[in-house]
Amino acid sequence: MGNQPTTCERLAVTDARDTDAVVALDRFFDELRMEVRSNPELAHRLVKALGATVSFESAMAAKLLNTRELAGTTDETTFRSTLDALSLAEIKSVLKSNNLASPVDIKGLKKPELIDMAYRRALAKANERRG
Amino acid sequence: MSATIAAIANLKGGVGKSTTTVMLADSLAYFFGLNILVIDLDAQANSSQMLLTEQGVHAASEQGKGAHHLLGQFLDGQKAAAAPFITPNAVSIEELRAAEMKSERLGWISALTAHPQLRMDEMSLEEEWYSRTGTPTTLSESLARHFENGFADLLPLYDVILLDCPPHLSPLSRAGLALADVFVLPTLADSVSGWGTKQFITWVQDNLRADLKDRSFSVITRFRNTGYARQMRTELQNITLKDVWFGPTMPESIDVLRAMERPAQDSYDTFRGKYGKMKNDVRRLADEFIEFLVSRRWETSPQRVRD
Repeated sequence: MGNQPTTCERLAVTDARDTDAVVALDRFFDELRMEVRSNPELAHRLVKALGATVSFESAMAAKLLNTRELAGTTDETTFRSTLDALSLAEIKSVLKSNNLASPVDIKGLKKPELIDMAYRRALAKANERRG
Repeated sequence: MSATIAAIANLKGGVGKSTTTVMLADSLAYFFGLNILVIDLDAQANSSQMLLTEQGVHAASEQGKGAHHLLGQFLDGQKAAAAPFITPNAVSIEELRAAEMKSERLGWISALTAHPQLRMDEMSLEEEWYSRTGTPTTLSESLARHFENGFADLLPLYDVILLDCPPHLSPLSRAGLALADVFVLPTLADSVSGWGTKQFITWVQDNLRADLKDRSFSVITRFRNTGYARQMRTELQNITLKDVWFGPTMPESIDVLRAMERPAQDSYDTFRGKYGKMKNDVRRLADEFIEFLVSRRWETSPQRVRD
């Protein structure tokens, strides 16, 4: 018995073939999906955990911000205050990366004008997305 | 010069007809200073939205503009006149707008927009027509005559009329195809698209234009540079669409997806800004389409007005 692998070692060896991270993660999420389907309590806890408020640095927030989603799911005050927390350059970057304005459109505009444009256009796009 | 009517068509949907229509409109107006009319006959209104935004399409409809009004004239037995239903400004390129502001117009785009109502009206028309023992062929022929009369006053005003046809052979589509001088055939480099293109060519050759291949300009769109796609492109060029003029192969690009979503009705961008890394591909599209037109229809090549 001395050189025989234990059960734990055998499992580790079996799993060691998953050198590809994507394959390993796919398996993990498959297991999680199956468990969530059969375990509503866990599903509820996971969904609640996902609903936590997450804060980002403004530069990162500018990169992650989906203005259409923000305009479509929150009110105008929240939208404006979210953008107001960003710098002028960051708002311009948000407008361009969200395809809400071209460089021609935003040339020479001040922060309040940019936020007005962002809200008006993001809301219009959000309304277009609605069925 | 009377406008050349180009139908952008394919039996299959999703091959890039509307995107090709808009790229041709922008590039012909920008590089060659041509006056372009885009007629959107597809009730999905994709090229209309790409040019004017969804809000713009609804606004046009509320102002009494759109191709469905032309169809309404047919339904009501009225004389055809398309001009009142045209949105005169469908420009999103800053250089075109700036030239216009200085009264130095060098290239312009107008649009006869589509609207979902177009398909509703077409269905009503079909029901009425067929209940009176009419046939799809007599309906499409009557519609083609109506459109021909409706567009007659427009021909001297434009250099190129781009007809964005729906992806099937509905009466509207057949009427549009019957009016076309030349055909632009966008296709994807895959077997299903090749099949749709082949069916389309066979039908049009048998029913409308025996010399279709001589009048056609094909564009492979959304090309992903893989071994399979290269093989399919070769087969399209050498077998399925043999004897058809091939324009440039347009690569799949996020820049095109972005370019086709105008941020707002009052948004303008430079040509370079709008098309980004695709700028040279779109320029080649215009260059080769002009070369095709000169070899088939035009006596001289228009001068390039911008680089």
